[in-house]
Amino acid sequence: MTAARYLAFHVDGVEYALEAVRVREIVPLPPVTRVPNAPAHVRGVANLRGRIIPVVDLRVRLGSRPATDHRYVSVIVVHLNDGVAGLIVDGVADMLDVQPHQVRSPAGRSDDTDGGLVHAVADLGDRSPLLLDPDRVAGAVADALHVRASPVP
Amino acid sequence: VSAIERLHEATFLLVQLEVGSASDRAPLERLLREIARSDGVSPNVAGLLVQAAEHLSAPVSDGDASADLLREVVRLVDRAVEAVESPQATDDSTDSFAADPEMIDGFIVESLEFLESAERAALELEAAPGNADAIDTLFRCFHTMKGTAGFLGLPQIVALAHRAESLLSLIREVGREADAGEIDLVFRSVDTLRALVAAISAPGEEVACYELAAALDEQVNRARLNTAAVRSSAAPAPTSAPVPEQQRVGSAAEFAGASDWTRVRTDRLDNLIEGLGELLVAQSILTQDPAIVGARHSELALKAEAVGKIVRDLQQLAISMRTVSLSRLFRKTARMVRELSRGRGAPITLELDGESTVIDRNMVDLLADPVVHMIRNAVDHGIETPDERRAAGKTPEGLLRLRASNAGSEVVLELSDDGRGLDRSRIRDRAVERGLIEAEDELSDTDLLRLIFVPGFSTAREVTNLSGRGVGMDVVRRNIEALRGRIDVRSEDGAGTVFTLRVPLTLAITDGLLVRVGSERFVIPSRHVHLSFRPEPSAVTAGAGVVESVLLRDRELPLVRLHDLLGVAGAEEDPAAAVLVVVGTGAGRRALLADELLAQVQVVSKPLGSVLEAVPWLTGGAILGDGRVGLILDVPAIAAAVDDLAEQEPVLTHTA
Repeated sequence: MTAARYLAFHVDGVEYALEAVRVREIVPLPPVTRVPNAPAHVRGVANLRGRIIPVVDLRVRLGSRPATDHRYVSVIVVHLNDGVAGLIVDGVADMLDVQPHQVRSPAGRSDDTDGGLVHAVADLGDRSPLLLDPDRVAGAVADALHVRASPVP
Repeated sequence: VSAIERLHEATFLLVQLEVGSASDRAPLERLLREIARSDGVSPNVAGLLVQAAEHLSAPVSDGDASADLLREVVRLVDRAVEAVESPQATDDSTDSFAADPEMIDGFIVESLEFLESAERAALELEAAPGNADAIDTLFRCFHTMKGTAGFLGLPQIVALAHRAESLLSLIREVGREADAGEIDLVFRSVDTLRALVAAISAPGEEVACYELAAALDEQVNRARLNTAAVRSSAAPAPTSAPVPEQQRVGSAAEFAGASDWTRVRTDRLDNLIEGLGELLVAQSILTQDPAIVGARHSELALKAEAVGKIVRDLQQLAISMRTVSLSRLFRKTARMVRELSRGRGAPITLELDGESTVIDRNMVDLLADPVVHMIRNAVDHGIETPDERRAAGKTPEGLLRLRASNAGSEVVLELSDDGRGLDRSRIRDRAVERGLIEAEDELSDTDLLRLIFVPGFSTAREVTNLSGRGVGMDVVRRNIEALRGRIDVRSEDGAGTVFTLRVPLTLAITDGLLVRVGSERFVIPSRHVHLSFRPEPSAVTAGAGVVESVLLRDRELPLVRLHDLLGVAGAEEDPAAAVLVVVGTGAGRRALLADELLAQVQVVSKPLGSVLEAVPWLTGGAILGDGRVGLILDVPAIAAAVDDLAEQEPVLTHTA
């Protein structure tokens, strides 16, 4: 079994990582247009070279307050099953090689603490980033919207 | 008992089911399965019969589904009968794919063009049965198709084109007029050849041409006898010197002017147009950059503007490359009116105007359905019978007129008839009966007529075999609105009805009104916008609860506060200090409250992505001139939402 590459980043002081193959690019936070009636963690939509992408605030999605200082945030543009989305993070750290035997289940973490996004933990000795499933970011967005789409406000 | 005899027995049972003199499907189903299992039945035929039997055993819920099902069974059994009676004809089609696929593709495209020319000529011939040019054109089309089809090994096409060609050559030889039966055979040949050509790229598809071939043979024999008779009685041969056939036929290339054309795949053209749309947006972002805006009169600004002009010209050019004329739609219409007037046994004159009007090719097919439906309606319900017309002091022939024109970035289609006109009292009765309006409601004439576009409304008292059933003007309206168009109706009692369709030339670009709500901006598609105004404070009435309304020229419009609907904080609350944008039509008219109008914009509409698909009140987004995303409002959904609110509220009080 070979190692998989991950992109490590920080959200609200916690280290997370996404599989590198899912990452399309990293861009500075673009101007975001708020989308009415979207869930709180969807900051809005942005123009990525002529393409419109949804932008998700990972802080909110992971259960903490949105950042007030946007000077250092980045947007990780990820490939989803059906499209592309931007994830707002506090800062990108580095690339990691994770061996299969280093991956363990996220024991002790419940869906409440991080919105069910963490599917595993990488045990790298000096650090243990939480591994995120990008499709759950999207899936949760879609679910939240379906609930909100039906009643007339 | 041979398979064919038992198949005839099955056909007989099927007819009884069709006319309703029998209702039990089981005996037919059993019979079909038995025939399928019997010796000497080819796998192809057995397959068709088993398929038919499966259809018969399917449970059916209502009459419509049952009729559809029976039609399908009839089709399958017909094909089986045909395959048994002339195994040669159906087996031939399998050989055709040996030829070079590129040549086959070329043949398909070329043949469809020939058949279009042929159809046009057939219509001309019908109008003037002695038209020698039309006969020549038809002859050439069939002859050329026959030649190429023979080369490519498409025997069914050869056989049919040969027969049609023979018939025309006999007519041409003596310079006589074609009779109605012959013209009919020509039309059927064009249709069947088109189906055969289409079947080349759909293997397994079988086209019934046996009966037509037989009818053509019979007519050719009859014509040959008559020609011989004419020859023996009338003295010398035709006056004009016989022209050698080769010289008259002309090559396919000459016919289509092929050397001056390049065929481009539509998706490539689509990508080009989309790319140019993005380039235009990027260019306008550039020209609005502070560095350029700040130096308004500098050379840089002029240069950026010059680039913009070129990009806009290129975009226009690319869109024009994707436009086609409405000639195909017109021909389809002419053909259909011909069939419809024959079906009802009363003549109808069709006047066509504006065949050269152009439209985005992506639109033309989508436009055909509603137009065809409206023509059926006009023929079935609008135009009276010859007796009724005479009694009303009209000519016995009905008149249908289809006019098209390009008006700016729109295409306007006007379909008028000189029939009885819409029956306003019947429309009102039906609308009350359906609960669409209250008996005491007062409606303007326009609003009353527009009721025919409301879902579930239909004034057709009877269902004819021509108009189909259950599809009303609401579907037409929906189709037109899906094309971002709109439809209007005018009608004069006893004098006829006029439908006017307006659709954009292309869907690639949306015209919109950019409005500000609080600190946010939204695009309202211009096609929905009637006018905007700032109301007097007294014109706004607080409703009993959720729904407010505003008076505009003595009419009360529901007022929609966009900032409430869209959750925008810090927006202007006082309508008298803001602006109202009136959208929608007729009873669906609404006044949308926005802070201010910012600009007229042209945008390329894009999806918000799968993640935000379900979000309400929006149809998509667009990159605005400053590079930010603007959201496009879903006006029909917003208008409908007001109805939902009104329903939640039992009493709508109004104190003016």
